Parts: sequence; C-alpha cells; structure tokens
Amino acid sequence: MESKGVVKENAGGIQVDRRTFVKGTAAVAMALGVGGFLDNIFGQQVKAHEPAPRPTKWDEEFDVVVVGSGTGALAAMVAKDAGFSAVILEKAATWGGTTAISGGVLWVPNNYLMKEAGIEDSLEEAFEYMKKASFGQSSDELIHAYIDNANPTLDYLVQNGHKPKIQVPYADYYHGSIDHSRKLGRSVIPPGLGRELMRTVRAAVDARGIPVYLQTPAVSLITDESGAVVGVWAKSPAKGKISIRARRGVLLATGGFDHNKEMREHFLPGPVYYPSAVPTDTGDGILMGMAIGADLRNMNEVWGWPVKEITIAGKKMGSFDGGGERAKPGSIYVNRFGQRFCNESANYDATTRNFYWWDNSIMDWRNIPAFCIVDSEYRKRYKFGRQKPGVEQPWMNRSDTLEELAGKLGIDAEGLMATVERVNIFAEEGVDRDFHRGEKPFDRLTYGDSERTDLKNPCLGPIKTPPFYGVRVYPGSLGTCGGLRINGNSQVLTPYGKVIDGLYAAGNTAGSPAGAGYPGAGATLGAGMIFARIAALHMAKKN
Amino acid sequence: MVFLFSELIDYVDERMDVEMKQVTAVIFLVSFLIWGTSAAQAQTTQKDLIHGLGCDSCHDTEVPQKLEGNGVCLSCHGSYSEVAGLTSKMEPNPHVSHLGEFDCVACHKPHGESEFVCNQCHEFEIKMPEAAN
Repeated sequence: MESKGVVKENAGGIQVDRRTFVKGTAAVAMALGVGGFLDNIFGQQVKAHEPAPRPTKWDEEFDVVVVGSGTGALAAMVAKDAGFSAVILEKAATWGGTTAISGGVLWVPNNYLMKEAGIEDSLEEAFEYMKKASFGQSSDELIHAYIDNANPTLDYLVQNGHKPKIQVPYADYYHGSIDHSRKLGRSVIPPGLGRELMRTVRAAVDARGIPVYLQTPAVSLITDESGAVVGVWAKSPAKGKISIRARRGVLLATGGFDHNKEMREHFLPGPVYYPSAVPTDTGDGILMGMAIGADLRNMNEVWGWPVKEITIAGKKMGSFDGGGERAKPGSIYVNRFGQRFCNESANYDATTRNFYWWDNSIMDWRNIPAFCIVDSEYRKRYKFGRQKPGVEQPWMNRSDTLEELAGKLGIDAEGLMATVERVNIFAEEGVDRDFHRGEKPFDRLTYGDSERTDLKNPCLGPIKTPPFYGVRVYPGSLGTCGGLRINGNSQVLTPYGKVIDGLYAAGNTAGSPAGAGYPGAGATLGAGMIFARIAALHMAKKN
Repeated sequence: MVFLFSELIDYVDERMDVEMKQVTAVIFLVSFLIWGTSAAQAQTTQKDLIHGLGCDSCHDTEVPQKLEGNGVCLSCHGSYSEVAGLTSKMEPNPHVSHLGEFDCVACHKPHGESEFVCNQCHEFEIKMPEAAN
C-alpha cells in the first residue's frame, strides 16, 4: 500500500503528510459506518462522503441548507426573504471562504453603474461575448442563466448594503480579441474588496437571523427512496455527528478542489503552485455529489494566475503577479532557456495557460518554473513581488549583470542575454514582434502605463539599467472551476442528464458557466452569487 | 564571561589595528572585571528587550544561544491559537495568516525595532503595540 508511506511533498508550497491525510479520511469513512478498505485513495475520498442512512429522528430541520459560507451565503438570504428557513454550514473557523480574501469583484454586463456612467451595453452582446469566451466548455443554458440573472443578483446585493464601483481600468479580459467585449464597466468592485463584500453579506445574514455554523463541515448527503436529497450529515464541534434536514434543498457551495492533491493530479492538466483558495477548499461538495452519482463538468480548468515565489519572514509563498507588476514596461517572463514564452501584458488566466507546454524534446514542462526579469528603471516605478520601489529583499536576486542573474536563477545566460537584446529592440520600435505585447486594447487599457511618454508602447520597455532583479514564477490559481454538472436552475444532474431532486451547486463547486475562459474580472464570484440566488429561487418555488 | 569577552575582541578586531587592539582589549577586560555580570546587559539595554526582561528570561543557558521556534514565548503566552484569540477583534486578525503560524519574533523583535511583516506586502492599518517593543 503506497498510502502507508509517509510522503512529505512540497509542491506549490503545500505540505501534506499523506499518512495523516489518509488516516483522516479513513476515520471519517469508519465513523460513518462505511467500513471496507479501498486501495484507491481517490475512491476512498468519495467513499468518505457516501450517503449515510437517514436518521430516525433529525437533529435539526430547515427548508434550505447552504454548505459553504462564501458566495453560497446569498442563497440563504434569498430563501429567508421568500419565507423559508435556512442555515449556513462552514467548515472553517472563519466566515466567508475564499470570497472573503478575494478582490470582491462581480462581472455584471449592462449593470446600473454602466448606465449611470453612460456606457452602452446589452445582454445580447454579453451573451455572444461570454459564449465565445467560454471556449466550448459551457452551454447556452448556463450562459443565459448567468447573463439574465446577473443584474437582479447585483441589485439584490445593493439593496442589502453592497456599495460597488466600476473597477477602473479593467476591460473585459478578451477585449480586442473577442467581439462584444467592453473596455470598462462590466466589472464592479467594492472599495474594501472581498473582505467588505462578505462583511456586507454577513450583516445581512445576521439581520435575518440566519444561523451560521462555523467549524461544521457537511460530510455526506442524505437521500430518500427516490434518490432525492433530503438533508446532510455534518460534523459539529460541540455535538459531533448531526443530521440536518433540508425540506427544499441543499446548495453545495464549498469552493473548488485546490487543496486536494489527488483531485488536482487526476483532473488538472498540469501542476498548480501556491493555490490562492482557502485551505478548506478540498473538493468536499464535489465529492459529496459524486458519491450519489452526479455528473462532472469543466474539471480540467482553473481560474489561473501566475505567482511570483517570494519569501516573507522565512516563509515561501506565491504572490499574485498581476498586471500591476508582470505587465508593466521593463518586465519580462523567460523560461530556463532564457526565452520568452508569452505576452506578459495579457490577462492573467490566459497568461497562465502559456506555462503549460509539455516539451517532448526535454520531456518536461518547458516553462515551469519561469522567471520574471526586471531592471532598475522598472524597480524605480513599479512593485516587484508586492514590494514597493526601493525595498530590497534577498529573494530578488539583485545582480550587477544579466549573466550573474542568470547564474543565480539557473537560466541559460546566453539565451537570456539574446532575449533581452531582442526585447530592447522591440521596446525602441514599440512593437513586440514575437508575442504582440501591447497590441490588444486590453493590454494597453488595463495593464499598460499610459504615463510613460518615453515609450512608444505603454507595455514595452527596455531592460538595460543595472542592477537587475529576477524571481521564479509559476502557474497558480484563484480557484479550480470544474465541478458538479448543473442546469440553468443550479440543479445538479446525473451523467444521463437527469435532475437530482433537492441538490444544487454553485460557484467553484459547479462546472463553471464560463467554461475554459475568464470573460472578465468577477466572473468568478459572479458565477457563485448568481447561481446561488438562482438555486434559492428554484427551491422557493418547490411545491 | 569568556563568550562575551571574545565577542568584544571580534568587535574591536574589525575596527582597529593589532597594537591598538591589544591596548583596548585590556581596557575592556578591566571594565569587565569591575562590572561583573551587569556587563552582560551592556550590549542590549533593558529597554530594548521585550517586556523589559533580562537575557536569561528567554536565553536560559549559561551561554546565550539563538532560539528556534516559539516555545519560549508561548511558555508564558499559551498556544498560538490562544494568542490569536486575544486579537480576534482586529481586522484582520494579525495572528491568523494565509502563511500559517509565524515565528513570534518575525514581528515582535526582542533585539530590534518590531515590524508588522504582513505589511511587507499588504497595507493593513495595523501598528505594532508599544508594549511589545
């Protein structure tokens, strides 16, 4: 049994003691009376969430049970407003899940702020755009559900105290590449980001008297004779195993599977480093759905973003390498051969895709790890690994020459010097002849530095002023975005397309309505909140 | 005593030529004999130390050594999560981090100016308490 060995892995900064992990899941399985012994760890995980027998007497009863306190929390509010009781179960000790540490952005085409600002938009155009921007991995049904319910969801949040603004200067992520995009307005952000958004939601939840059970993970779904979901088994810190009846339905909104090694390995097309989702995102909702025969969608996808590997107080971590750094003039990405491999000013999800080139000439990922290289002119103006200009840190590998820097990072020095020479010519001409950086409106509007009158291309600057700096960069993620297959009512479906009564999923627990794409900032939380609200409205209509 | 004396020699070594060093070393040695154990505290003054405690409150060995981990701090303050409980009303709670548990001294520096390391990346409105300096 491979699983008996103690394997300390440190991929992506996650340390997992496999024996502890397996013992944990086995203990859960045993506690639920599943018994047996499976060689397959992944199968064992599903087994751990196997539907357990219905209790003779329910410990607690509600109309709606929401599993996860991120975007799913909206469903509890909507249900309560429709006159039904609801409860929110949260595995972590803290409220808000990954949403609470996010940017708090929602992607809502044709929203009220756009109208106020005189930005023209239409739901028809938004549909066309999102359809192309999902690259064939979504469905018209899901895209329509998103687009048609986006504004009612935003308006509902605003009625409940949400005060967003248009996110400046964020264009749609394929602006200039896919028709019907907008250069501004579809992404709306609260000044206090996700922390503020989830504080607003929490206040609204508390005002309605909706109970929130922290440190109370749902473990398995409870079904009736027909296979319909009628409740959940959860683990309460005070009461132990408790059965919670859900008269109208269960919404699974437990986030993705970022911190489940086996699921990452079996579903994602390559390694993900330093995932940004909260550590409790271990695919629980997806596994619970699988355990009762739910279908899956989009499991090969993440909301990708590149991360710089930095060290703070002795701890290695992945720092989101957003447009404020990566895309600015004087910064390039190279692989170990010193070669560029992407347009550094494209949106972060698209940029992350360029890391995943399995090169059969070296039988390895050609662009993992990669390296971000900058010069002193860059460092005078922009942040580097979130450090302000002037701040020096040992992990920045400050070097007087590019050769020295290449040596420190393990990059082919000749390759790097040839690349920089070529980039410097591009910068002078204002044209990136290799990766067309700064040609698309998105690059210039969102990430370019329009104040740089010294440059012909606001995204392209030379790298020639020593000392030079460089750090490792890796493909990371905000969250996985594959999960249970849902319909336009957020209802979970079987592989035969049959609805599983009483079971709903939203956000990163469901196959994303954005499929393999990322239409704009906030399509992430957008999908979560929009489909949570849809789920609650559908549960409210149940006879 | 031997340890501290040799440290002083090293200190002087960096700054003076050999002849001067010998003379100065004698002066230092004499100072040492007069001061006795109080000289041990001359390097780091009382007010530089966390809570104004003496060296041996933390470095409980004859020859002070660099400490690893949070054991000494937590021997008085309870567990890390208990400490986090004390700051649970703060936004955000500085003792709950996506990087897990820190070394206490990463922020609360016994021998230097304390620093809120989260703000190396973030811009939280949190200042280090004076009592900890």
